[in-house]
Amino acid sequence: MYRHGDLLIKNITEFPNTRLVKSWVENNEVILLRGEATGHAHKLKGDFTLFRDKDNTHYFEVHTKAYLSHEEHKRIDLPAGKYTMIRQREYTPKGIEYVRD
Amino acid sequence: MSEIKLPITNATIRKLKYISKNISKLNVGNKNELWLATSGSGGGYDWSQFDVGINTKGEFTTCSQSGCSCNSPEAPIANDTLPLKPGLEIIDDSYDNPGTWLPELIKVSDTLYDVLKGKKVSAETVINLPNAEIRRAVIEIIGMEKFIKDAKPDVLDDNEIHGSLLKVKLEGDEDLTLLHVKDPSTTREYFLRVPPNMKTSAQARAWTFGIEEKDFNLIKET
Repeated sequence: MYRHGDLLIKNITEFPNTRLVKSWVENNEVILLRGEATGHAHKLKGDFTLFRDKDNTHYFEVHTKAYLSHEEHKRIDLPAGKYTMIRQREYTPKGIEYVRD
Repeated sequence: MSEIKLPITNATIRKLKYISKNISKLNVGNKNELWLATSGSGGGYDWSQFDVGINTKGEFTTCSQSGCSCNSPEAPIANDTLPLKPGLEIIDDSYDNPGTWLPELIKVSDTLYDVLKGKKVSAETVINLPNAEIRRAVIEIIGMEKFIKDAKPDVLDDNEIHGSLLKVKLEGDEDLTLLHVKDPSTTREYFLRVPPNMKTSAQARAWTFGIEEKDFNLIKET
């Protein structure tokens, strides 16, 4: 697994039931997450297909190669494979919330 | 509009530098985007397009002269003075509402606004800020050492890789358990609240990503 700021990219073997949200094309690019205060974005670029499940969790399959980019974090290259994206979270007495930046 | 010259203290220079480095990147709504609009969308902060000064009360204001570069980041140090427009608040000279006086500096957060103006805020208030980036910015302005001194945490665990696990006792409320981590890319330090039953930094850090400590095996992080 890879940590890219407040995102964890985890290698998985199979996708759960998902629906396609973006078709694969060469030189694909998508914003996985954008900071609400900073406006900075975690972007996924390369040859991949993006999926999303009913809970809005993102999954993607890298067909050949892809990489993560962000204004303040170094590039992370991802080899071919299936991945899921996990957002960092925080505890509050009222419940669990995603980390916001 | 006329300008006045004022001596600039080290504190105001520090604030000005801080804003040039950090606050200008905040982007949280139309009112604040006015303030940001002149910084351009390329990520950098172009001071020639957005001139900012500090008024007699230590608040920030802009120079009204189009293209004025007298407020470049180096200017306060070189001249020890800044040309200022009389007034108390930021205005925007080049966006949708030229000459409009914005009611406050940047309404990102009342707490952020308060500490920028030098007002004291409690560690509890800071810890309860919902946005981690604003929380970090506030702590940076207050000063890490001062913040920790005010919070008086017990150190439960100190781990070179996963950070420090801290507990802050709050009267009449659930204790705060915080993971203190430094981002390796930006070297910025963050405090993330974790459940009170966390025992180690590694356990707490894995929890923030919703996984077990034994499964938290990073190939790379940045």
